[in-house]
Amino acid sequence: MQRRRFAPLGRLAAQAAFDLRDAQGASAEPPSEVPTVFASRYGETTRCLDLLLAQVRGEPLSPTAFALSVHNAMGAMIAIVREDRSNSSAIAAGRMTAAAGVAEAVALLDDGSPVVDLVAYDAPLPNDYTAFQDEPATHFAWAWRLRRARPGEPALQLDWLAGDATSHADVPAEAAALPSGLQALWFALSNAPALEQRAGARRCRWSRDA
Amino acid sequence: MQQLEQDIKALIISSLALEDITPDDIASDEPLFVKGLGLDSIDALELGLALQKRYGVTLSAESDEVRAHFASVRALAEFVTAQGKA
Repeated sequence: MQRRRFAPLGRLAAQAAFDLRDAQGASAEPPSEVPTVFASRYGETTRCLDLLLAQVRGEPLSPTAFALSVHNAMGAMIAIVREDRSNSSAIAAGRMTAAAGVAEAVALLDDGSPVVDLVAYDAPLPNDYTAFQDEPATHFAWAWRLRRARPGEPALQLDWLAGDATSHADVPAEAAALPSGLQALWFALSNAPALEQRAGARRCRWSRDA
Repeated sequence: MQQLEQDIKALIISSLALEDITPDDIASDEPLFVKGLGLDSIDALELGLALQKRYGVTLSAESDEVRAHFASVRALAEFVTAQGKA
């Protein structure tokens, strides 16, 4: 009954989130103890734009669209569908959204959660906002379960760097054609030693400990 | 009344984006909320808006009668008719 409220992007996000939980073994932490961070640069922008257009036309606003236009709409819908009362947050941080998602997850790990789920999802901006599309865009969703690396385990590392407007971000060619949210996934799956992302004066660097 | 009930069923399906269901799958006297069709409070708001746009009827959110009007398709059809809007 709830599926009708998931737009195509929401279905991608939900599928990634459900697949992540389904892939856990029998010894995994109980779902009620696993916080989830939802990271999307543009979230429900299309729904918001549709509401604005309805207002401009003087039409009453759809209550359903209004309720689902908030940034945590998908997090909330997924929690309702799987009866999940665990901690859930939704963030957006421009071209650093995936990195900010990891930072949020690390904060939760530091706060005592043994593992944290991170669900990243996004879609191209609606046509009226094309002028603001400042990076490659496609529909996507991925989900990671994060925990602290144990001694001797290979680990991913994320560092925030002082911004330098004149420096060039170290972006391997294969990653340059991807939306920033997919670059993080590409990095995790590739052998690339590092990936830098830049947004204005902010820089971050993904790397790996062998 | 038969045609009005069919139209209301079609309106429910379209305005609430119900999937895999046709008007013939909705019984005129089956509950719409919680049981039966299983609609929720957001659906109630959305359906109220759709009825207002289609038939010009308004339902006060405060009224105790609203729950009775929304009990079933038949109840909605009777309400729309009583408002002289069918």
